[in-house]
Amino acid sequence: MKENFTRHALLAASLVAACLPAFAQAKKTQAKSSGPSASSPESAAAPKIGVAVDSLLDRRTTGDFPSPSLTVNLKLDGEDAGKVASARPRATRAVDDTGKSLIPDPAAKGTMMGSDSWQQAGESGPPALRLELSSPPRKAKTLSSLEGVVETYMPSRDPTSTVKVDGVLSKKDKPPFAAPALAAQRIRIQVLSKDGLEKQKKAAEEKKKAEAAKKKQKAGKKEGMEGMAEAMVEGMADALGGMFERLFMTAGENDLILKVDDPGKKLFGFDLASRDGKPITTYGTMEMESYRIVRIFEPIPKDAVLLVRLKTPRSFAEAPFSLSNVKLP
Amino acid sequence: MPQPARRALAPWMLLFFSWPLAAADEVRVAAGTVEEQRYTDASFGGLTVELQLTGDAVKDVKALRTKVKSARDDRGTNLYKPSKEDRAADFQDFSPNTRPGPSFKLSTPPRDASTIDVSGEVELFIPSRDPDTKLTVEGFLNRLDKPVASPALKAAKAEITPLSAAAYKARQAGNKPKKEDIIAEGKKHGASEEEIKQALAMIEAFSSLGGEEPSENSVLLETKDPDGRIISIDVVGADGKDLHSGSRGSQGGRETKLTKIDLSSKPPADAALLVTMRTNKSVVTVPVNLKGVSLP
Repeated sequence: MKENFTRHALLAASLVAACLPAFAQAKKTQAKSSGPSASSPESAAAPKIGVAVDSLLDRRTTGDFPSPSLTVNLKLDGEDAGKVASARPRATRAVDDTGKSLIPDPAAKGTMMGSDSWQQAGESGPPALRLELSSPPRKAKTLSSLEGVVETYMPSRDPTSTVKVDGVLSKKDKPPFAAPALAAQRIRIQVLSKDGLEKQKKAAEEKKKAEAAKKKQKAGKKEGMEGMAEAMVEGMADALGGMFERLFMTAGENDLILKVDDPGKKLFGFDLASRDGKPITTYGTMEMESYRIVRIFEPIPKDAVLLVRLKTPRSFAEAPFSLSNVKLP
Repeated sequence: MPQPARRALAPWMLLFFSWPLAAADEVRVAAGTVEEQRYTDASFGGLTVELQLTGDAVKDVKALRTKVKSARDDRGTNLYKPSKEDRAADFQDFSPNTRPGPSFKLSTPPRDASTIDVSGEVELFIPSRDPDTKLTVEGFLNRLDKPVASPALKAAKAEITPLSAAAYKARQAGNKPKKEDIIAEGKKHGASEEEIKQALAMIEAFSSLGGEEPSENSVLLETKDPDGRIISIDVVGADGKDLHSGSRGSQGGRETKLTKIDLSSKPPADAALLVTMRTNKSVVTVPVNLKGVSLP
């Protein structure tokens, strides 16, 4: 049974891995960009990074759904690759050897997963990137030209882009912490436990009910409005409850739950580090309304430091890339 | 056997042997959607040919399994190489509206191939052909943690044990894969540290998804079914009516499987298990020969 279970668990993991090609596939470089990129006038100096193809996945079908697509997994190398905390690629030209453009129709782009999302660096190195293109014809043999841009987030280039919050766990269920650098950006962050989340849920439901009850009182005199107001109260409470339920279901025992108020949209993300500055591996951050769940699978050390990453002009840069004759699988 | 008796038996024998053929004739199998996943590393991905079943008997099919015998593309590439470890797949629930439907899974053909030929078979489980496919286990809640005594189960080499919550949790804890085992397994397959870490994280996430404690509404079972004869187990009331299950989850394989069926309310003391098993009479084999199937 144990062996079966292990196999079952590994199978489950491998199924997920199959959906995440960047994770599962063998590393095989097929083509590489011509080297460090030229600088972009809109952003900080271009980082010294090279972009190479790691692997490809061509999903083909005779049906309508899911749509056929070509996923190109890219990897970063070069002098600055280790400094890239997050990155995302964008293709400007993609043509196969039959001459067909593989740049997806902008209308269909919304249905493609991961095309716009930032990828974080991991313990093993720089972020692994994914580009979603249209599926080439069967008779095509190579991607004769693939050009684009990698947007990078490099907080090490700008010390003001990182705000360190010492002893983040000691701030659990306390009022939002007041770091001057965050206050200057009108950012408020509160650290919550699951119990704290539960309390917030109850408080929010009570508040909504009270607000709706007021509206009901006002509308009470009007015929037919009473039922509507009641339905409104219930509907809002249900929606809130649903959101909190999802938060509960999603948050793991070791995850860091944050409530964020960021009216100027200045926050880029969160990292964790030990007191001596050593990064603590996290597995991305989930966003749900004003809540953020920083995924972590080991208990967070008591003295862990939260690194709040801010969007600053100097922390962003773009690196163009140009690849040719990439063999299709 | 005397000659007249043999003659009298002949029509019955004929009927017996022609019955499966008749049912097979009532079901036709054609190729549906063809999907292909082509990875740089060819050990991943593959070709899936969905099978579309039509015919009057399809509505009576409750489960099925498919088996590929041969598959080649128009350039002669062999797309099916059976492994020595291959054993017959489990029957999967079927209804005419289920999507994706049954399929043949094949290797990835080269890009310059344009069509394929596939042969194989589909085994259809049609319980209406044999009343012995149904077994009712009454009063199982009064006999927890003891295997159900049943000649039919014994004949099928299967065992069903309704479990108490304590026994279920103890078995669950005993079966949880150890971190060290997963790391060792990952290393055996050449996974990097980062990949192993991610696998551990995913397994942890999966465990937390399926790790809800049994409640008073839960019916807990352990099954051992090495030949995959059990098609389904449902919980019914004393009147034989299905007790609605909101969700069910299982872990393990044919050798041992733990199943948790969460009903919408606490099961009555006289609830029964309705076990559906495949018998030789209930299974009809339909040969499949697909020629010139276009590749995407």
